[in-house]
Amino acid sequence: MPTTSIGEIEEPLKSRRRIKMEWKWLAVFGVYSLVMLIIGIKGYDRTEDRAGFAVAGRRLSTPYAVATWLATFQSGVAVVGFTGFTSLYGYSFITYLTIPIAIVTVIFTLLASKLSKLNVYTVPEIIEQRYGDYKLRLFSTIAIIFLSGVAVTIQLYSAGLVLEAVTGVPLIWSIIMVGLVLTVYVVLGGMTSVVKTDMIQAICMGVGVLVITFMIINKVGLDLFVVPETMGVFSGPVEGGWVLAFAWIFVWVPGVMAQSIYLQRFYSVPDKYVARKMAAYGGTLTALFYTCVLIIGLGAFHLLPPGSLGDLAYPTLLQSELGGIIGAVGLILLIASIQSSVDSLLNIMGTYAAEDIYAKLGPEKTSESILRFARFATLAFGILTIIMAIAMSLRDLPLIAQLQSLSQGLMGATILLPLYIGLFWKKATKIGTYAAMLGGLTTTVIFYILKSNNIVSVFHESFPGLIVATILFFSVSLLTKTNDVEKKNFHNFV
Amino acid sequence: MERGSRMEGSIIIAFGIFYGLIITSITLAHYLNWRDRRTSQIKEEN
Repeated sequence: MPTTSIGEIEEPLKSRRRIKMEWKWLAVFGVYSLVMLIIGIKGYDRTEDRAGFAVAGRRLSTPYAVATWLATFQSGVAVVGFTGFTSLYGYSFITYLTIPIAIVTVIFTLLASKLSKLNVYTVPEIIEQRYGDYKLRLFSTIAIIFLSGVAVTIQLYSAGLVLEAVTGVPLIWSIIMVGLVLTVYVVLGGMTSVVKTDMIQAICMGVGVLVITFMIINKVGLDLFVVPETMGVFSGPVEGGWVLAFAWIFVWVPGVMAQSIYLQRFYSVPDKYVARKMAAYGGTLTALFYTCVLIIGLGAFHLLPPGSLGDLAYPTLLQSELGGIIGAVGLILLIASIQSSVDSLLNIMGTYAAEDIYAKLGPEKTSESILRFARFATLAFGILTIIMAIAMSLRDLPLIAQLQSLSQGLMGATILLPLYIGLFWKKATKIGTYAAMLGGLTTTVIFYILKSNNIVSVFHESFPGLIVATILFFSVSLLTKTNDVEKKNFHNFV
Repeated sequence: MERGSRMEGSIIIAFGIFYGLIITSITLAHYLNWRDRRTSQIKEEN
């Protein structure tokens, strides 16, 4: 999952910065990066046209589809943030996070056939094909590129922080090293390279998380199964219960379903059969991954002093408890999880800029010129996000960190309904879509500001945003008549 | 709360829901693929 704030690890990690270079850790990172570069560059040979860059030529076999699904689903937050959460609150991780993700898995499996048949290059393309309006597509494109850019910036920054803490390489150089490697292979091979590296990253993550889990079980033993009072299924920073668990479903499910990095995978498979297996088995591996994360977090609770729990738990485990080869495995697990989601986001930014903006400007473009522009845009966005991440390290940019927590909610409250309901409901109209997008956006931002200033107390700002968007989408669509273009598009496209 | 009390029961329920949903998605994927393959096979035969 690419979102959730990582800001909390910033201060503790900064205060633990090492001055001494740790060459063995740096060598581990160097070897890993070299392997990624070689595999990624190989993707260049198979990227002959726009389809190769945007959707890996729609050739993904089931093993690659499942691996890319697993790898994209995990980010640095899944490793550092979720281990931290489970080290503090234990089993509530299952109730508040993994059950909603399992629900998403079931929904995606059911929708896989429909989503894989659309034959598009981008998510905003669906909006235009369905409602016959380019402005709606452009609005979605700009929103997706902007929010992806924010997510890439923050993840590069947090990757830099971890790499600096472990290797001793100054933060700016750590950010540049992580960012450059993935920018190079995404520029060259687009989605084809992303998928190839995802396979290796998924293997690294799978092996890594299993090895560390085994070590934790070995070290802690049966104590792992002792459940302290603060680690039950409803534990957390606020008092919870089934109502809160239910409320989280309404934040996670729309938030994940509206993310382009997952949807893009449905456009990259050859048919519905692979699409269904990708969602189901990718979701299953994600579930197993989260179960390991839970065990690692519980182990951290038993092994580390209370001051090292939370977001510091994973880096501290790596340095103090595991060390040696296991520590190296832990570092690779973390870097692989960050790169596998950041490369997908960067690919989305370059592809969408080319397909949804450049290809629509002026006279019709050839596949080669769209591919060239996609590579150029990816390079530009890669450099820009590296600069932004460096800027974050030099001075506080609180706005960016805040924007990240807003982004998932915003996507859910704006494009979710027009995208999914529009595929099934023929009465959905362009005007209804405008109303839902603008209403959802405005309400989410207003509630975010009110919540930040403690004027209202709301569970999550996307909650009222989604409610307003739902009411507007259905009521305005019913009040406005579907025109001939919309009717034709529904039958031809869907 | 003591060990072996209601809290451990709720953990088992939470895990049950979680893995129940995951098993549901695998079953669904295989059933839907089997159904669609069979349908297209019948269509071809006719």
